[in-house]
Amino acid sequence: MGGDTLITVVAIFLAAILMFVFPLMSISERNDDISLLSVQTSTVEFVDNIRSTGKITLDNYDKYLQNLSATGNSYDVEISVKVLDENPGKKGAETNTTKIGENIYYTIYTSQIEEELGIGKVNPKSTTKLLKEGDIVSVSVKNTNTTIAQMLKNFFYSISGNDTYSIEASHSGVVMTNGK
Amino acid sequence: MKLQNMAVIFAIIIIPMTLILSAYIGIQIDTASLQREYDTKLLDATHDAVVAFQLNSMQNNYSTNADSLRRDVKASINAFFTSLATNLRVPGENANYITQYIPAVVVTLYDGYYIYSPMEMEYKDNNDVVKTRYEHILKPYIHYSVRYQTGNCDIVVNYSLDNYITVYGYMNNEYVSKAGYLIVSDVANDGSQYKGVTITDNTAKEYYKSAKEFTDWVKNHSFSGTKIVDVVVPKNAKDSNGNPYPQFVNNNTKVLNVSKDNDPEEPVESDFSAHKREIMKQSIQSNLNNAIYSYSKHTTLNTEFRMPVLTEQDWDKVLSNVNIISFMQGLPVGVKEYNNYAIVTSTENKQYVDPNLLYFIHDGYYHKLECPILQAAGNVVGYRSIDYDKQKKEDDSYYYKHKELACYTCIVNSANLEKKKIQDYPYSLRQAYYNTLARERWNLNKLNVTL
Repeated sequence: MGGDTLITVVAIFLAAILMFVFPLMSISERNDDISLLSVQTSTVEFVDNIRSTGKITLDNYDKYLQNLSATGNSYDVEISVKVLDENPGKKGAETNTTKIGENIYYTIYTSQIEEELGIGKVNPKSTTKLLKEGDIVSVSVKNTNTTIAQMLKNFFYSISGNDTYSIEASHSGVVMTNGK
Repeated sequence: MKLQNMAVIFAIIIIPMTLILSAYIGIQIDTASLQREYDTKLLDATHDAVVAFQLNSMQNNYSTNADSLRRDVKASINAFFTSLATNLRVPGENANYITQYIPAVVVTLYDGYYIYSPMEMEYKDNNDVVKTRYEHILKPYIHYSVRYQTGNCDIVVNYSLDNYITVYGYMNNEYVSKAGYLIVSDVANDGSQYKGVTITDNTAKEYYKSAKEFTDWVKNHSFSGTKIVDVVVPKNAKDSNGNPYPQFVNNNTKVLNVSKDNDPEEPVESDFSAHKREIMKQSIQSNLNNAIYSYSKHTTLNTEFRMPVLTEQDWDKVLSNVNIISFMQGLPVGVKEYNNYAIVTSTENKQYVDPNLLYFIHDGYYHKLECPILQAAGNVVGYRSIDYDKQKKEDDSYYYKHKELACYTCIVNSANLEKKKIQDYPYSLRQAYYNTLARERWNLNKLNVTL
């Protein structure tokens, strides 16, 4: 009798895992996959739009953030623009006219770009950040909340730590035209 | 039934469903990822083509000559195919595999455009039998032109990206042929005053003088009682079969009747620009549609090629400067076929003087008109952006026409610039702007001065 009870308890436990946890895990993982796809697509579209128009507008940035939050997660978005500075090359070329001078890049980051887009200002002078041909723009995004799939994984596989994000996308490229 | 049995049945039902669902979602995700990858590759290849065009035409002193330009355009299309094939990992001889998926590449220039698309070509096989096949070729240059016909007047107007037009044809049986810039009549006869600003540059004076003469000719010269301005009305526009355009039937606006409210130098807000935009759109759309449709009829691929609808934002790009538009269709992506296009605008070319790309020198640096440093600068001189770039001499050494450096506030990194209408700038800047724009436009070589 005692053996039967034990088997029943084990069976109920197994059945609960099979009937509840397994489908939940599977569906939540698919959900993350779909979020990932949506995040990757929005990121590529956002970056390619910047590259082909030569500008980051507040309007597009807002739309991008809205697309991200539509997946039901919260994200950390990092934008960086490598600004091409040809002036040192121009100065250098004067000494040797057969060589092309070396260009340098300096980088501006999310908070600086957001400031230039007028985020947090009452009457911003402009809500557009103009870029020029040759600048390099890159955007990377990671989720900051813990998704259900991550929670279940953590529970079963005991993964923990800060860098266990499951939705991550990045895209970058050279700006193709001068923004107007 | 025992609980264990129920669990097993449940597992038997649920597990295959989950697996199938996973596989389906996996395929959809792969399709979408591949599509995105192709989008970026197409955009990159188109950018490479634009860069090749810029490099070739900038270093080619004869690039405004029609034949020479054609060579540069062909070279840039080659760069496009090489880059696309390499990006899609089919380089070398296999690159031809890609061409069949490219129904058209359009290169839009100052006053017209080239279409690179497959056309029926004759060839002889080994037994000297003439056969035909479809091959990609660069078709002849197509102008942004439209025919206006009413009564005994039958003229063609060629438009361009700016206010330059060419008029030719018969006005009441008299042959006319003239080209020039249309400007608002607020200009002195010798070109020394324009919109209340004194023009000091001699070349700029020439521009305003000649533009005034041309505009007066268009508006006031009577050909047996009829003026050109009365003929160039949208409702008189005829397509290649002599039929009126349905969208213009009730439009009686005299588009060449230039006034302060119809300033052809304004990029969007005038009747002239609105009509020009429609004509350019119509011309590109119909020619491109024909090219893609005829390829669709004859391709050996099991794909129906169709021209995608370009958005208004895309048209803004096309009509703002030199562009390359590439179409890629029919490439298999997962469960679907790929169908998309990429548009890349060129900013450094000798084809067109863009008013937004005039830079003004002050204190060792060059600036945009809206730069805060420039506002209190006093007298300044400007040139178009490409004149500040590195140029190559015939002995392969480099030089700069102007050695000033790019301003860090408005050009290297432009932050918080406030864009105003030109009339809201201080007098000295307006003067610099009108002088520079006129000088650079006058110096621009046109492919078709007279016909």
